Amino acid sequence: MTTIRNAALFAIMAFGLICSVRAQDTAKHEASPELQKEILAVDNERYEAMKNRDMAAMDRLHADGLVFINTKGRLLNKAEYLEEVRSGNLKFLSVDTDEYHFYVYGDAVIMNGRANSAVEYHGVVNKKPRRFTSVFIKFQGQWKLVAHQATLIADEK
Amino acid sequence: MPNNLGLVCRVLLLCAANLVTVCSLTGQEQDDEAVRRTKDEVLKVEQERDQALQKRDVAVLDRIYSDQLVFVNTRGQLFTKAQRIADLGEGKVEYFSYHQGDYDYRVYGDTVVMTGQTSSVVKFQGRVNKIPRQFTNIYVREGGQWHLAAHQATPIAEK
Repeated sequence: MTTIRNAALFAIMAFGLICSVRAQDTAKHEASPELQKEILAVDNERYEAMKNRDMAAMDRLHADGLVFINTKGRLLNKAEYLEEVRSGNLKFLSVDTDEYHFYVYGDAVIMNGRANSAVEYHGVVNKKPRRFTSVFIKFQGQWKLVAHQATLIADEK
Repeated sequence: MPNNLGLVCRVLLLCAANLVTVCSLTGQEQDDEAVRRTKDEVLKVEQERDQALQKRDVAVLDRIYSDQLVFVNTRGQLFTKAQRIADLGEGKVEYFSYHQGDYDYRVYGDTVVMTGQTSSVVKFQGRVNKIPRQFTNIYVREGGQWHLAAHQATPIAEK
């Protein structure tokens, strides 16, 4: 009887340990509130730089290897993306974002969210809701956007 | 004698300069070699993922997907790892054909940004999708293994 009780106790403890390790694995990628604020501040700087066509700030906030995929599925590199902003082909008329999730992997932060921002692209205004993923990496103390992709949310108009 | 000393010094300086150049080139080659190796490793995992998706092999996908996977499909729907694996396991996602390529990679240490295009025919939630789409995969190295941490796909609009 004692043996069965000990075996049951051992099984419960082992299960608890596995759950605890699993929870730690998940928790290790959660961004702290401070880091979330830091990333949001950098992203706001990006929006401000786009609105003001501040190309020096745009250059500083985007990695040289940037890959930017817009809602039309077009892939732009850093030079192409900055040129769209500089030329006025891409304009942010309003910024409206929410439903953020942040995950940390070493020096990289993956940010996912939802946007309702009004964007004018080559003369066409897009206000449709979209889901985006942005990846930031810290280079010598400066967070830079290395990848961004946006997809229209099909079931919302 | 002083002439000989000058010559010896010049030869030594030349040798030192050559040594620095060789070391520098070797370092560059090693960097390039490390990047090439990383790309090969990520491509291998991506190919494993392709096979697992077609066979609906959720055990392989469970190993490849990071626990905090962010998965955004072409309809802008966000899924967690558990949701994605359940949908595949239950047959809610079904691939009729699989074509993807045009890969490109940006290597940042333990993070790789991989982009590509796909025109695979896939059925999900009763809809068959065969529109060409552009995708980004974010691979991260954890404990020596490459895991897919994020995936997003966007339909390519006609020009």
